Amino acid sequence: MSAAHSNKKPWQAIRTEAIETLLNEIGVLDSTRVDEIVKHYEEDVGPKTGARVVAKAWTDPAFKARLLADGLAACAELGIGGPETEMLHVVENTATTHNVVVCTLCSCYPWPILGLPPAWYKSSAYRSRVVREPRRVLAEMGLVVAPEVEIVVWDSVSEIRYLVLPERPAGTESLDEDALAALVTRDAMIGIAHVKG
Amino acid sequence: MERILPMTMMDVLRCDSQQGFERCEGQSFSTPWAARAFGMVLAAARKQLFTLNEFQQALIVEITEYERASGRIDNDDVYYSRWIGALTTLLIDRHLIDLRGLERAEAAVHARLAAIEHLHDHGVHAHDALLHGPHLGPHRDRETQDDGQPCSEAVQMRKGRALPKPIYRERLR
Repeated sequence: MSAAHSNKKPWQAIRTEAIETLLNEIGVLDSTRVDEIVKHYEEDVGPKTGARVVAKAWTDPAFKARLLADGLAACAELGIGGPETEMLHVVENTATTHNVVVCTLCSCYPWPILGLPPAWYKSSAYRSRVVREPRRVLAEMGLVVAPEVEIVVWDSVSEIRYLVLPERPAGTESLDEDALAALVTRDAMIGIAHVKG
Repeated sequence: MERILPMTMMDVLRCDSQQGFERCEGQSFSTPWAARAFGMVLAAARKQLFTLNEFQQALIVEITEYERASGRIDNDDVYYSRWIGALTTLLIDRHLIDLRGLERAEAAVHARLAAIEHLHDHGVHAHDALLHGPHLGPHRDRETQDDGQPCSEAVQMRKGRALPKPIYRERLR
């Protein structure tokens, strides 16, 4: 039978299947490991993971101090982390400083803490513009930062990954950690949004 | 080199989602092949076929060349296609696969898909082996040398000597 090329599968699907088959055949890759990794990042890890870290920092000043000193070690206290992130630097938003994270060259992201990055984070527009005109980009994305607040942009191009510790919203004093974690969004931990109470 | 700028974030968000500014917290891959590409890169790094830093460098090259030649990356299909390009390049550079073998493997995938279509056209349910690819036998571990070089900023941070520096600061008042 002649191998008529299927027009139903995109070239990317053909290529990934071919590569995976080849690597399995030479014994350097196990497809079950690929399955586990995909499942882990689709089901087990996500913004809720990072939200736990933020909520803990809001309620435990000693943990917050450790988090700001060594992000990965502090996350590990909560059983959070993975081989894909070697260094995590946590940057704290305050009344006078607003942090935002980007990877200008390729969209590096703290996968073990936040899961998969959103498409806009990987876009050429975000990667190129947020380092030049962050205030305008944030405004386009719905966050207006007051003029007296300094915006600090962190670029993830090295091995360091960044996590924004957003400000705890007012009026949440009575909430426990779980309730606080439920307020924290991925966008706030990247720095393009505030956490709303 | 001037980066491509014209898109506003509103345009990007429209491309990303029909929901405008609603940025859902969904964590799944947009396509199965993107998931496999992602999983393979991480699995390969964990098996030390290459380091994630090396993959990052290859991805930077792919993205830079794409943006220079074709324009902007504004959706996951375009982005993860660069991921596949970087993975392919890295595996060839490491002599783990070669172009001829890759062409043969892709032809085999096409043949399998054509066989499935043929069976469907005749109202026949495709055997599992056709649907899911060849059976994969036992595997042996193989280790390669990790010779990736960390950047100096990361090394300094590891040694506790310096904090990372932001790339940009701005205050209007």
